Amino acid sequence: MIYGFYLLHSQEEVEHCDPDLSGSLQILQDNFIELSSYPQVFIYQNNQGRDVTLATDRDFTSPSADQNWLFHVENVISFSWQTQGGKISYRFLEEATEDIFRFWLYHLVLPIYFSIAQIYKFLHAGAVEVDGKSILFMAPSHGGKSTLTDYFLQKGDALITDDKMATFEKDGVYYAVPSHPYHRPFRLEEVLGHLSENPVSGVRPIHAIYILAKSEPDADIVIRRLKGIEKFSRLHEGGEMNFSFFTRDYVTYLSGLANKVDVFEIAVPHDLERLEEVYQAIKIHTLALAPSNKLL
Amino acid sequence: MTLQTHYSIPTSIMLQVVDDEVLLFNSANGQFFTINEVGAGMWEVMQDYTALSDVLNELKEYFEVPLEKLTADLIVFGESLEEQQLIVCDEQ
Repeated sequence: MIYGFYLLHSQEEVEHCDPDLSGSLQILQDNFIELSSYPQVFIYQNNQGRDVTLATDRDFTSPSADQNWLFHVENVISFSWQTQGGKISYRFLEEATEDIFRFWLYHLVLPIYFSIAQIYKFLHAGAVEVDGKSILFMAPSHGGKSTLTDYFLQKGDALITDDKMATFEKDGVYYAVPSHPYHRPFRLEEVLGHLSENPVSGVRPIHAIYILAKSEPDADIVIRRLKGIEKFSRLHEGGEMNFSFFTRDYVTYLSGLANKVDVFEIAVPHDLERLEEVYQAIKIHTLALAPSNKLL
Repeated sequence: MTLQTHYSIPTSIMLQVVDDEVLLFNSANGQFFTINEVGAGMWEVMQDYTALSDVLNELKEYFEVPLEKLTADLIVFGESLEEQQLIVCDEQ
């Protein structure tokens, strides 16, 4: 059974774009590999109020295709898979519910799976499609990504992703891959959020990236093009799923992205009453911007 | 640091170019440093050698500046790289 929507509607588009990225991903409730067979603990942290572990059965500095992985959420659920096995197995634990299962699958397991399999590179970004143009919003935590993304959705623009932006490069063009269709303009633990009425259903070239910078409530809304090292630096700050064993690959990818996609900083006044102004400024700017991320 | 200094470049160091600006990224600690066009030229040559004296011999073919100035610039650049842990030096 394939659950939900995350990347799976878009998988057909991906298959159309590049056969190397194809292959259905199955989510199964069998073939689970037990915890004791994963000696290498890679991450152990508190997340959503739960202890979470990512572990693997061998050295994680250079994952092999048949390497086994385990993502364990204490008292809730365990997922296991092989690096490029094309399926994720799971097992419910005592506190599991269907919604919590989907939360962990969509928010962390699938991004981790696609990162380790080197299918997608992730950015910490919200993203929407405005009149056919895909734009990303990046900012530090609590920097206004979700609020701005939510405002664009309220205005009728289409959701690409709420928080984790899957991307890939093909023939020199960088694409945004829609994630799950849920949006969470609030912070409640293990909650999927609102189901979007208007999610994007296929991969799209990234038109522009806007990095949000909070400004004084009465400040002007200024959009500034970033270049060179500053552009790379700001993108790097917004890296997501940047595992240590892929850092070199990820940095090379970010450099390529920085060289291809227009990146801007926008000063966003710290005043919700001015969101409409921010929205209009971005929309006008986006629609006037000639695409740089295209086939040459 | 002198021309007799030997050095090695950690495998964690990467050179990246973004919008014609050059940076050295250290994947071991996530830090990166910008270098100018001259520094980028020196770095490119340094990747092929392990002694500054050999680097100087190569560089003097490319840079039309007095050898004394080139030597001084190379040593300053090398010291800066060492300070930022972008090379590891071994005094011989």
